[in-house]
Amino acid sequence: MLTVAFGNGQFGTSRVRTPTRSRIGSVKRWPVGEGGALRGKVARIKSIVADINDSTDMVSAWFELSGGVVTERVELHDRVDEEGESKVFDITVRFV
Amino acid sequence: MAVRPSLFGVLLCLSSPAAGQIGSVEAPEVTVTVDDLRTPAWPAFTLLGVTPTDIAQPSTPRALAVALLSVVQERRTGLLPSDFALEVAPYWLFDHPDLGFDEYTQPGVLQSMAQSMTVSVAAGRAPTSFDESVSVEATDLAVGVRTTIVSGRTGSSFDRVTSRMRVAHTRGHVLVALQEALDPPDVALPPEMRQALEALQQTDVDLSPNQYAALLREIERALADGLTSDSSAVRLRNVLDRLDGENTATIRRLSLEMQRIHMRRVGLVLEVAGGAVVRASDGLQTTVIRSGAWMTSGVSGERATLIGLVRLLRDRPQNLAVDRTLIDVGLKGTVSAGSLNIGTEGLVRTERSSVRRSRPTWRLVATFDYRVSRDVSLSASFGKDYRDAGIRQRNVVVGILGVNFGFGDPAPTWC
Repeated sequence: MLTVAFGNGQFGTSRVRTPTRSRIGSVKRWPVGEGGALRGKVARIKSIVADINDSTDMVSAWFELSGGVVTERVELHDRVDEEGESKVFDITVRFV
Repeated sequence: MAVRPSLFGVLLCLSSPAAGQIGSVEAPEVTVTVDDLRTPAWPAFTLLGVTPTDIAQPSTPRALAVALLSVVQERRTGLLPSDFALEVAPYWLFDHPDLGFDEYTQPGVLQSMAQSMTVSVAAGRAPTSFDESVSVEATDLAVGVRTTIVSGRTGSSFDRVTSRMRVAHTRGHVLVALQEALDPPDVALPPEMRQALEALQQTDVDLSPNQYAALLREIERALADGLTSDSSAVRLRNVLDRLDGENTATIRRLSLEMQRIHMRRVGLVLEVAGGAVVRASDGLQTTVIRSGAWMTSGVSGERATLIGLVRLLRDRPQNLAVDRTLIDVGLKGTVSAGSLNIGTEGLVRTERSSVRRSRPTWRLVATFDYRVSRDVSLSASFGKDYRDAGIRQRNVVVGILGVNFGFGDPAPTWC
């Protein structure tokens, strides 16, 4: 299961591509596929975060992959240079 | 939102009596309304009676430390700094990776208090005419806190913009996917050119790593486009790049609009604020000379609003025996029907001091506002204003009829 979430109250969406499926929009406990079928394959996640919160310039995203042997979580942080700007986070997951 | 570069109105005032105010917080000859008494954005500045033009607003712990350090370094005499204004939102000094969009826009009580809390601090030289016995080195330091306990919810306009933002994001992802499909194969460049690009990738430059990588990708793509014999791919890429650029600008406009309309809340809202002014003189002697507390609550719908408020101000000049307290309780209701806005507001003021206790005075006024056109509106007020016990006025009537004209081009509308 894959979850992509955005912090600091900002608005974000993602595009997820696995060898068999893809999704655009919010990603919450989205099934990426069966473990055996994914071995050796790659999933790509590209997220856009828009700075809709005028109280902070910080943008962040976390990516959590669960359902395997261990739950993996990765957090990315950035800061927009100007109000209303967007940032793009790009993640590649290799299944071993 | 349309911005009027200039605006003037024609007013016919039948009567406009004065109302007693407190200390330097408000001008003594101005009639206050419910809107004047609402919870201030910066309680410290309001209590100190200043409107600073240069407010330090640190957004990181480091910036806050630098701002405070600079105050200490600039201080030359006295216990406290003079001419200083600072506003800080403690919650937003730190990163909150687990605060999602939904929780931020529709917060619970604790989250609302945390994310809306601001602390304002201001300092200025004490007015020597206010209290002759005060040392010329005396400084007033005001500290205020403001927070929203109940935030209501976002209005339908915010939901519409959010929906448009979702569409714009989806369009952006689709365009990127199509751009990736047009990426030229790696073999398009000769090996020596590819080696040169790889070497350049390892070069130290002044740009950020992301900026430099994007720059190299752009050049690499242009070179690959130049090699391809299929010119239709180049044309497609140009179209996609143009659409992507337009969409990025749309997302930026929508982000700014969401920032702007986020605080237009509907439903129940409860805001509170408080603060105090400390006068420091003669080295180490400090006295609280003024304090205040505000509570504003309202229920807003798409067409009607009801606001209730309580304000308490206590004024006690240093070394003076007089101690004054003002208590204001107000209620205001407005209803909109097309171009017509009708409202009623009532205020009750109680003043107490160590030397006299006045009878409560009150104000009850009905207001009408009718928008004739985009640039012209008619407004009228009628009712009873405060009665000044000192001059024994009885039935003080307030009546104002006004015509407002707006000039200038409206600001560009988003999307």
